[in-house]
Order: sequence, then structure tokens, then C-alpha cells
Amino acid sequence: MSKEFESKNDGQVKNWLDEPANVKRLIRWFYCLCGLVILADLVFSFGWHKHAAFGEEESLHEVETLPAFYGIYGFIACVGLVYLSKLMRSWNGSNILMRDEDYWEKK
Amino acid sequence: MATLESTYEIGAHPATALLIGGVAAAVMRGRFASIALVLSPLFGLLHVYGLELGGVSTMNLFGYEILGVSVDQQAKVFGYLFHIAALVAGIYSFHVKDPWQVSMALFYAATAVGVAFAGDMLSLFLWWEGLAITSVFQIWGRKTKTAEDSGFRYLFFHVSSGLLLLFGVLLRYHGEGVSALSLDSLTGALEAGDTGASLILLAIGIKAAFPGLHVWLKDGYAEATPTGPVWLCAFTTKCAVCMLARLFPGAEILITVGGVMAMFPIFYAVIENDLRRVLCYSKINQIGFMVVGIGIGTELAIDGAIAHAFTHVLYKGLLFMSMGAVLFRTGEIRGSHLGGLYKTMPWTTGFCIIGAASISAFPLFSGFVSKSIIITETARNGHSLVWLCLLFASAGVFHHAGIKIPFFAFFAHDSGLRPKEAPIHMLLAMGISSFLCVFLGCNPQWLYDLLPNGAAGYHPYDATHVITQLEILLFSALAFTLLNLWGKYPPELPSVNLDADWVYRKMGRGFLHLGAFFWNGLNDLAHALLVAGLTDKVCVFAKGAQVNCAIFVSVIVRGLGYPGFWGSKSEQMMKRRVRLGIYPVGLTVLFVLFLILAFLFVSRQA
Repeated sequence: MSKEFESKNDGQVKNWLDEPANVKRLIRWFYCLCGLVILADLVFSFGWHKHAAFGEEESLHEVETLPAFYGIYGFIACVGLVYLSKLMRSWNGSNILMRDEDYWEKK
Repeated sequence: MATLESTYEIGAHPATALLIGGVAAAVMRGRFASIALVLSPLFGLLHVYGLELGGVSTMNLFGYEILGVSVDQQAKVFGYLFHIAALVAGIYSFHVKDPWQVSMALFYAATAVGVAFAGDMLSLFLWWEGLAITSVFQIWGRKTKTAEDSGFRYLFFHVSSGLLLLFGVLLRYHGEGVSALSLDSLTGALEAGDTGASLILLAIGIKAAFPGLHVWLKDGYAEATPTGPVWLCAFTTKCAVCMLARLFPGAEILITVGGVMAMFPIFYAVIENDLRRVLCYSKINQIGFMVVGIGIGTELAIDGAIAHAFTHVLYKGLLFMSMGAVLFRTGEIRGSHLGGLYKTMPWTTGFCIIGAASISAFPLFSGFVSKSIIITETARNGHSLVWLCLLFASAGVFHHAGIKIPFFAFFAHDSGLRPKEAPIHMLLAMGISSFLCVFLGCNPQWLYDLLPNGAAGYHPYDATHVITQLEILLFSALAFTLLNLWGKYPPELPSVNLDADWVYRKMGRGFLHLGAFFWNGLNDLAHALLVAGLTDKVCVFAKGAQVNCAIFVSVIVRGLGYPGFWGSKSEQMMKRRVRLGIYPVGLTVLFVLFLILAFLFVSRQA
């Protein structure tokens, strides 16, 4: 924090977020938060009654009530989303859906 | 629509205040027009508040009795919503001086109110067409060639929607008479395979941006003025949702359609560079949730869909406002050219993050209290595949609208842009929306009390909901963080992505080329045959006749034994004159006269 006021370049005040160490600190706090939520889920799953979205007779009932299911699903969904989207841009070096910005202006 | 016990005739139409405001904004200039922009939604809001359930307004037109207004709880919710949206957008657009944009914006809001309160199919159709025509001025207001073209493409879709609606209504009217004009549920007719009902669904589907019919949204909104999408995002698609909830509650097909709508746009949103277009994709994704809710069709699910429409207008408007402020200040909206704006636009950044948290459905923000109803109802009714899709879509929407929008606009790499903070009226509008997002997120009962069935028996804030929702969101954010740190996240690239518009636009161009080939070819052929060919031949023929005639006469004269009658010099001159065609018509007539006399003479002799 102390560096914030010392380091000035070209008369511009550096913001708190410009310091890589602060960004790292922020990310570390974020990891802790993720861990905390998983912990809360585990406590709820084993300690208290965690009520299920699906009824007992539904096929997803077993999966959905697993501890940390939502976290794992969210993580996998987003990684899958990003990789699939990258494939939509280009695959094997050739463009699939991506075109130059002036694609529709060209005749 | 439930039949109401007692009805009474209401005084003025609920859209009156907005219509008067629109006229005022059209005839006044400068600040006065802007004041009309803010005042008329306020009066309209009071008017809607005063309407009691069961009010109707009928009028006679060409011998038909049109039910112009029918007040029920659903109409009132949408009435409130449209007026609040118009108020916020009006404050946001306070600086706009273009009278077309300002007055048409108010008329646009008025038509949306008209749709929400419409009592039968005929009045619905009139307002529905009004929506199309008044909204396009928010795109044309940009006054560039691209915006103009885009506006015409937008109109093409929306006018088609109106015509399909009319076609469907007329087909049904032809089949079953006056009862076809009521706004009762058509789900039964649709599932029995009624063509009219299918056409009506298609017409609403265009406005609701069903997959494949959605391209007008991402095309038009991205080309609109900085203030345009704030208006556009509030009315058109919400009118469609309102009508779906009235006409097709519980239609099975909507569950599938909604699932697809919630899924496919998020892939596009991740690779889209134009940040307003990212918002368009996330808008389609959010409407997908509402469509699923309507498709499930239980009272709670429909309530969820309407509640989600309500909160969605607020937070999507907020996001479009923050992006509009960025565009207004920097003239740039491409993610690849933005970044680091939080340093000089801290308030806009903050409001954008509130909008992002709301659309991602963080607990205590408005998206959470409405979206979770739909997801819960999906699970409770056993649609497991759609439930997985919606969960995926929730993670995805956080990923692209919740993180990508604020991250690439305000943080990420420093673009070096140092714009001023947004003007005060824009900040005020964003502040009001932000307040409503947080307020409804923290006090969902205020929203639930407005709903047709009051979201009976639903409690968003229980421990399981909150924990599972936080878990899914935080781990999506974790995926974003890790992929970014490892350099695996797709960078923002200046590019356009092909969507279903490729089909329409290629087809359109193909049609244009085909038309040009056919009609221009026909023109060329006609030119070659008639102008160049036939006219020339007629000329040669006509001239040749004169020349030959002159030669014939001179030969006869010479043959009769008067070789020196004209003299060779005057004969030459005569031939030249004939060839140039400078003998007057009278001479030709004289020859013809001689010819006829000669003919008569000869025939007489015979």
C-alpha cells in the first residue's frame, strides 16, 4: 500500500489496482472465498438438512445433492464454454465463424 | 386471462400520458422536449397506479367492437415496468436534442404500454405494428450508413412479425369467428396443430428473439445511438414475453425453445468484441429463462417469468446505460480498444458492476429473486435436461455479462483512454436503476406482491439456495480467473462473428444479385432488340424508301426521254437531301398523293 503514493510516472497517480502485488492479494482473497463457500456447502450437506431441487424419484436427485456439485458444475461449464467458443472462432487454424470487421461492408 | 367479475369503463387509455408527452416532445425544442421526456412517464405511472382491476375501454371501428384496454394484474405489472423503464431511459436521454429520437422514444414506450393493456387481438395488432415503427428511430438516430441499413433490416423483421400476427388472427377469425379475437390462451389450439395459432406464435417469436429469428436484436441494438438500446431493451422483447405469458402459457415447445435460447448466445458472447453486442446475446439468454418459465406454465413459473422480465428490464437497462456512457464519452465500444476506464469513470464502473451482479443473480441483487423461481420450478416439474441447461446458462451469463463486460471495459489492459466521468443525468439514471436492483434484491416481497399470483409459497432466501448459487457463481469466476492467468482466455479481437444473419444477409444479397441479373438482363435485351435493333431498322427502311423513291422517279423521268430535265447537278442534290432526310414531310405526302392518283388512274384504265 505504501508504494501507491511513491511510484508516480509522468505525473500520473498510480491506482491501487495498478500494483501487481495488490492484484495478487485480491486473487488470494478470492480463492479463500471459494474455499469458504465449499466449506459451507459441506457443512450443510453433512451437518444440516440441505433440501434438494429435485424430488427423490428424479434421476438427477442423486447427483444434485452431492456436496460441491454446483461448484464443480459451474467450473466445468465455464471451462467448456471458453474452449468451445475458441473452437467457434477458429479450428485447426482456419476461421469458422470469425471474420474481418469490415466483412459486411466488403462487396 | 381470468374472467373478471365486474368491469367498468376506464377514462383515459393508460398510454395517454406518454402519447401526449410524445406530441409535446415533437413540437417543442431543447430543454422543454427533454422535460416532457421525464414528466410524461411520471404522470403515466400515477395513472396506471390508479387503474383498478377489471377496467375496460371499448370502441367501435368499421362495425367491429374493439376492446382497446383490459386491466388485469399482469397488464398492471407490465404497465408499471414500462413506465419506470421510460422514466429511467428518459433521464438518461436528457441531453438528446434530436426531436425525432425524443418524441419517437415516448411513442415507443406508449405503444409498449398499449400492448400490455391490449384487450383483444385487433388492438394488440395496432399497438404491435406501432412498436416496430416507433422503435426504429433509436437506430436511425445514429445517422450513419451502417445504422440506416441496420434499421431497415430491423424494420424488415418487425413488420414481418406484425403481418404474421395479422395473418394468424385472420385465419383464426375465419375459422371460429369473433371468439378468435379474444386474448385467451392459445396453447390448446397450438398443440392441436392450428395454423393460426402457430403463426401468432411465430409473430411473437420474432419479437422475442427465438433462435434463428434473433439476429435483428444483435444487429440493430449494436448500431443504435448511445441512448438507443436503453429504450430498445426495455420494450420490444418484454412485450413479446407479456404476450407469450397471455397466449401460450404451458406450451411444451417453449421449454425446448427457451432452453436453446438460454444456451447458444453465451458461446457467441464469449467471442464477441462489441460489448453492446455481448449484452444483446446475454439478453437473448435471459429471455430464454422467461420463455422456459412460460413453457412450464405453472402459476409459480409464470410468475417467475414475469418477475424476471421486470428485474431484467432494470439491470439490462443499467448495463446498456453504462456501456452507452462509455460509447458516449470515448466513441468506442469494442472490447479490444477499451480497458482501464475505471480510473476516470469510477461511478459508471460501480453502476456497471451492480448491473453485472444483478444479471448474474448474486444473492441480494435483483436477478436472484426472479431467476431462482424459474430454475426451481424447472427442477420441481422434472425437466432435468433443461435444468442442467439453465444452470449452465447461469454460470455462462455470469462469465460473459457479469465478468467480461466490466472487466474488458473498465479494467483489463490499460487502453490509455482517459475520458471524463459520464454526465450527471446519466449517473442519476444509472443510480436509480442500481437502487432498484439492490432494493428488489433485498426486498423481493415488493416485487412478488405485484405478480398475478403473488409468487405464492416461494422464498428465495434460504440457506441452500444462497449457498448453491454462490458456489456456482464463484467457481465460474474461478474458471475465468485461472484461464486468464494461464493466458487461455480468448483475447478480444477486432472481428465480427457469423450468426444466423449470414443466411439472411447472403440470401438477401443473392436475391438482389438475382434480381439485378434478371431485370438488368431484361433491360439490356430490350435495349438491344428495340432501341438498337428495331429503331435502326425502321430508320434504314424509312430512309431507304425515300432514297429508292427518288431514284425511281429520276429513272422514270430519264426513261421518259427527258435526260436533261433536272440537270445532273440538281439530281445529285436531290439524292443527297433525300439521304439526309431533310425533305419535309409535305413532300413525301405529295409523292404519296401522286402515287395514289397514279394508282386510281391505272385502276380506272383497267
